[in-house]
Amino acid sequence: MLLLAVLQLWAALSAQAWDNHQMRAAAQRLGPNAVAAVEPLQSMLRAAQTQDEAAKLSAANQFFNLRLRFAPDIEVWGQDEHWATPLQALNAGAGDCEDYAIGKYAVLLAMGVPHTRLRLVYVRAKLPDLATPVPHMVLAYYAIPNAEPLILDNLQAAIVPASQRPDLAPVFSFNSESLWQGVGQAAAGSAMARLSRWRETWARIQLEGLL
Amino acid sequence: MTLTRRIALFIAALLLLALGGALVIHTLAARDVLLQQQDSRNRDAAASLALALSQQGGDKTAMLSVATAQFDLGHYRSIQLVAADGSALISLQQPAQLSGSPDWFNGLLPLRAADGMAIVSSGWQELGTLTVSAHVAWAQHALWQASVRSASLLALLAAIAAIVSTWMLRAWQRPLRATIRQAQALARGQFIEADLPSLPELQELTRSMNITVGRLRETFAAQAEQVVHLQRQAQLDPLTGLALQPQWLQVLSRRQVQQDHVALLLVHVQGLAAINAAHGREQADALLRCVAGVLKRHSSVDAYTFAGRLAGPEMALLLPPSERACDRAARLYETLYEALRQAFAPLGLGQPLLVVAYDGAPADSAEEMLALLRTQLPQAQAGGGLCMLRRDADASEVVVSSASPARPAASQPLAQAATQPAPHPTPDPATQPTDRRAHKAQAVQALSEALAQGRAALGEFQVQDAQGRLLHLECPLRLQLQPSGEFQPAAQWLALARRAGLTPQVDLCALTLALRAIERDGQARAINVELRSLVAPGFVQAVAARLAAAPRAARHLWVEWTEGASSGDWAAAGEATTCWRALGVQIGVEHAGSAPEQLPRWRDMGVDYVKVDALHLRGAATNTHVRAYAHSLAGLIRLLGLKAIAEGVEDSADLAVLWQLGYEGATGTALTAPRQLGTEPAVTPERAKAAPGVDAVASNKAPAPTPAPASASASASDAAPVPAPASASARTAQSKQSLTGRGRSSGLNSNSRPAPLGTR
Repeated sequence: MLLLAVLQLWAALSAQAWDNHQMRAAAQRLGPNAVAAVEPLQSMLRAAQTQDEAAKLSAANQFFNLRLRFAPDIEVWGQDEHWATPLQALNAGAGDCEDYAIGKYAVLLAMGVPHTRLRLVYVRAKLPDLATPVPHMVLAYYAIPNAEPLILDNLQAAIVPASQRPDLAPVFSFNSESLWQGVGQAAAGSAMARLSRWRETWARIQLEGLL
Repeated sequence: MTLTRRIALFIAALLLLALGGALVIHTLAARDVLLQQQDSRNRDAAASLALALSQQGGDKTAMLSVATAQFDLGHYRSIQLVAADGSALISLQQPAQLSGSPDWFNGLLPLRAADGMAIVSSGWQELGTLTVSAHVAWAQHALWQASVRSASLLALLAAIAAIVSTWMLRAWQRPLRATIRQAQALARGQFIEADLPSLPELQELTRSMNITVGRLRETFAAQAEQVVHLQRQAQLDPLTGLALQPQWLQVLSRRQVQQDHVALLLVHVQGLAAINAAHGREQADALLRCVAGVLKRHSSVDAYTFAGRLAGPEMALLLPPSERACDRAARLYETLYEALRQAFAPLGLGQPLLVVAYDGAPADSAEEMLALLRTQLPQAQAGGGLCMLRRDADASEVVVSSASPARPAASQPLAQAATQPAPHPTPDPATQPTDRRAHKAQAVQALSEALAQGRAALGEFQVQDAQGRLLHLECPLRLQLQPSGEFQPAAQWLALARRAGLTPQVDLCALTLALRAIERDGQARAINVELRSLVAPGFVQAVAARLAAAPRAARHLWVEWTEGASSGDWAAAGEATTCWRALGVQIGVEHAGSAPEQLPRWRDMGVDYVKVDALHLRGAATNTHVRAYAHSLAGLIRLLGLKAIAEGVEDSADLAVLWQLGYEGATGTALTAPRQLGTEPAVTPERAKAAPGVDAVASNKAPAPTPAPASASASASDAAPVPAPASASARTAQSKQSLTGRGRSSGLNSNSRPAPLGTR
């Protein structure tokens, strides 16, 4: 227990957003895949502390694109719609578009990217083999406000500016800032917090120690 | 504060706390719900509006109309779209509406939810941040209404709870009150046993009190028994075991008052001194014991036969009123003689016994009767040892006859002598028979006239307590039988009044005078009432009417009657006690001490005080038996919760002892000058008006100590009406008269007293 306190103190002092011990404990609760994924995740987070933002974006994008295979929620979770936390998704080894986007968003925040530069965007995606567009979610990175964003997507491996993604038509964007006006960590336990999917997922992410 | 009030206050505080707390908690919880609701409303509104605005493709006009439509159709306080550079693209505001809830309530419970925020974008570009805030007026109104509703419902609940708890408290108070009533009655001296209440805690208490009441009753009975025992000890002759003279005389007096016919025998043993000298003290004592033994056997037969030892050689036997003493006299004489002969024949006693028998109307006093019998002793001696006297109710003469018993040597059965009227006149010192009858009628006439015309006055004698404070004045009635004559004390005319049935008028006269005197000076006074007046029809009501007419004076009045009530008197005494006590009068029993077993019964009837007769208290300083009896009497009286007052205390040593024994008041010549009383001149001529019988008796006694210094002091001090008596004969007269035991002994004290107040 004392060791844990010392670790947490050290984590706080070292300006580290994530909590190693908490992540490992959460991963153990989830399953062996999560446990196996925690170590590379943590090493990536550590390495990212010295990298610039482009490298961080690339690392996070690659991490999830490689480790998760695309599968609809009904197949992975047995539900029509389920947003997984990064560790949940890593444990399942699969996820759909929101899982990718949320995972990358959480990891980038943990790496220290300011949340004002990141947006989760609802888009209409035109897939090559489908006539009508499908709903999709991507992560958009704004280097400067109102500049053209970079898109982190699971449909394409590379991170490209939005103009180079004519297959995506943005509908609505949001991030965690708009949901937590003036409310701190304590609100995570409130019953009202769990009434919206995004807030509930965000609360779970925080409980897993990533942020 | 009483227990009930405390419980009521506690319940009220509890109700206030519980219901008030419930109201506050409910209101705060409602407020929390409303706030959370408001929060999510704001957020949802912001998100949906931002979504709508994001579809407008950055067209500011389109965005404005969408926002305005949303704002106008909803309940929004403000909708603002702020660009990244801080400029306001859309700003719609509507100030707060009146909410219908009071301002103080809004101030107490502010509802300030967080604004909803969302990002408005166009394509990939972010246009700005949307902030939406809905009105809270509805929420405040809803909160206010909910609070008011809760408050009124809770108040209603509180009222119901209060009513129910009041009713329950009252129900529980009832057994408590009953127990308290029992305890209070116990403190007042009423011994009631209560039913067990329903509360288990009180049941134990009531049970214990009932047991205590039972024990107290037993204690009283035991105490009364002990008192009776001590009485016997104090008042029985140690040698013979017969009653002593004072007690026997008192019984005779009572019998003479209550009955129209008395039968008694006087037994005199002659030559006791000679026997004492010749054969020794033991033989004389044995002789007396032998005679006493026979008399005791006779007296143990029934309750109305009473034997007593009078003087040294004299004994007497009082027979039931239905018996004829003269018939029994001969048999008694024979029995006595046989007993003596068997025991003492070798002594050669000759004829030691003299028996005088009396049948007939009662005399005016016990002493008179005794004197009468004693004067016949020579006759008995002349008549062979037996003399029989008869007197009818109307007749005033005494018929004497004597029987001649057989000589002792012959041992023949005694011949029953026929009674014949004696030719020679009686030794009664009164006048001729016809004269006596006329004289009696004349006296009754004078008495009635004196009562009718109100030629009466009250004497006043102090009754003080141990500190010398005046308790009340004893006021015997005196009547001026002859117009412009002297005011005669009761000893002169009371017996006559009794026989003539005039005692109700006498007592009413005394009452009227006493009430008048009390109204004049506010001093408490005590009057005597005859028991036979109580049974007279209408008397109790007449007294009650006069008491009701003078309520303030009635509260200072003390009324007393003698102790020896017969069975017919109890009901009347009880009625009188209840009736007069309700008007404020204090009721007491005087000349008490001979029947201590009756005292609890008097107490249950409701008397307030007991005056113990002097004959039980005389010699308390010197005689241990008397002292023990006086002490136990005082103890019994006080145990019953009554005041014990000593009568006729003449000796200051006795007085001191009586204070120590617990008597709360005393009257008599031993009392020193009181603290407050008007001056009364010392008048000695009244002594000359003492009854003839009294003088005759007094002359038999040795004179009392020197009168000279006493009279000098009496005439010298004009503010001391109660010092040592002014004369020897007055003192002896007083001491003799106090033996009568009939309501007027203190009246005789008037012989040495100055003129009464307010006399005409």
